[in-house]
Amino acid sequence: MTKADFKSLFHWKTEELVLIGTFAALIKMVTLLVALLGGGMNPLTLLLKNIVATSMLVVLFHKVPRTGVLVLYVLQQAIIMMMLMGSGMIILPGYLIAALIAETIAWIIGGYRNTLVILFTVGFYDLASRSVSMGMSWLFMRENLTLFFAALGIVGFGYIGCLIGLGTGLKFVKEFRHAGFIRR
Amino acid sequence: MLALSGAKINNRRFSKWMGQLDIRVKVLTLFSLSLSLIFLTNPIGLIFLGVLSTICLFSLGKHRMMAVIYLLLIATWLFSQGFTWVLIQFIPTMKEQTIIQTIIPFLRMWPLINMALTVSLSMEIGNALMALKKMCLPRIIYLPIMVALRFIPGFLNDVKQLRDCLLIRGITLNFYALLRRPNRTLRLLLVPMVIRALRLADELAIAAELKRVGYGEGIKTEKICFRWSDSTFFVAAMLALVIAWNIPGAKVESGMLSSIHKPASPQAELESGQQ
Repeated sequence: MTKADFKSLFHWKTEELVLIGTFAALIKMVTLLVALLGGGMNPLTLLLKNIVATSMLVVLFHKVPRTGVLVLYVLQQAIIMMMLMGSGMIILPGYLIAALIAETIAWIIGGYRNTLVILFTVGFYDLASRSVSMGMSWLFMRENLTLFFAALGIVGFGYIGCLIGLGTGLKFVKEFRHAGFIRR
Repeated sequence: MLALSGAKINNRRFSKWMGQLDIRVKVLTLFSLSLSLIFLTNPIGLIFLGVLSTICLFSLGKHRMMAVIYLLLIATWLFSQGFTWVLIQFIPTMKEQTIIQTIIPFLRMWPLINMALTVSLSMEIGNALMALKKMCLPRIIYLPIMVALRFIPGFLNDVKQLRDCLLIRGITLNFYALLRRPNRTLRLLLVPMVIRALRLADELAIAAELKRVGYGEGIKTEKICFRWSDSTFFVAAMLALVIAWNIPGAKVESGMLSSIHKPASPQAELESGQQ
């Protein structure tokens, strides 16, 4: 990485930042809406919620294909969560580490110019962030590990939704490209 | 969401005081509480913190919401009890898990949920944004947050418009539609929303450039400063944490695995020691 490349990591256009903020809010709101439509957290809602979140993340990566977009997105999500629900502070370091690892791997294997790299990064980030969440769950529920195992099953089921979301995200990208909203 | 849609804060004296506290102090208190709750295992200390945080939440006057959340918490505990019963059928040693062990994770969640709700329900977005700016955060962090928080109320309006639009076409967005045709419902919900978001992002970016918001201008931060009430609240919260840590109480062992590896009786322990 040259000095110019490193400097460019911290120089973002207003348009890109606005887009990241919009998508952070959109993902939060649509997932909430899906959960409300589904009448709370049932397996179907859980699956659909993860499909939606992952699909939108894939669309965001195609719209802003820059190194650092995932880290910024994670920061926004954590701060929105903190402001809306008060949580998010504890989980943020783990999520940031997951995002940084995913970004580094993506950078090593060629950057976000390739759709396959985007799909791999999103899939990897989802897996890593879930592992971090489960680690945190263990810390909070260590006296009652049965509850932890229940959560593990639910999170594992949710990850299936993420994997499906990678496919649907690709489909959405094709549609948006056709409509002229994504130009690459 | 209440905090975003106009924040109907109760006019009672204490809740007003909670609403006027600096957001940074409230978030810092929440962060300290979350950190200490991870390591605190004393049920008496957890109950003490739970009661104090309940008083804070109760003062905001959102009693109905409190009731719903507590019911959900109880339902989750019952669910965990059911799951424990299922696992006991396969792992008989799990019978040794005490009721305290099953209830401690919920005692840990209780103050956290109370405090999180207190922070979010007593917060005004305008003040929160000014506090963010005052914290000297870089442009790449506070600009997207500002956009996100401003976008949410408009987005709720868009959802209503979309629902009306679909009703004209004879399509309703509900659980039955989601269950019957999940693919179609998601497409109908998602595609217009993403297109709307993409257009809105373009418009907002142009507006931000024109008003030079993206370059650290356009937000006045003089109004936000620490007051004596902020420091009093923070000191009181820290004192409560110290008391919770020092209250004498039972020490609860972690997890069912400890009970699995535990020798069955003192005699068995003695025998294993001799070996």
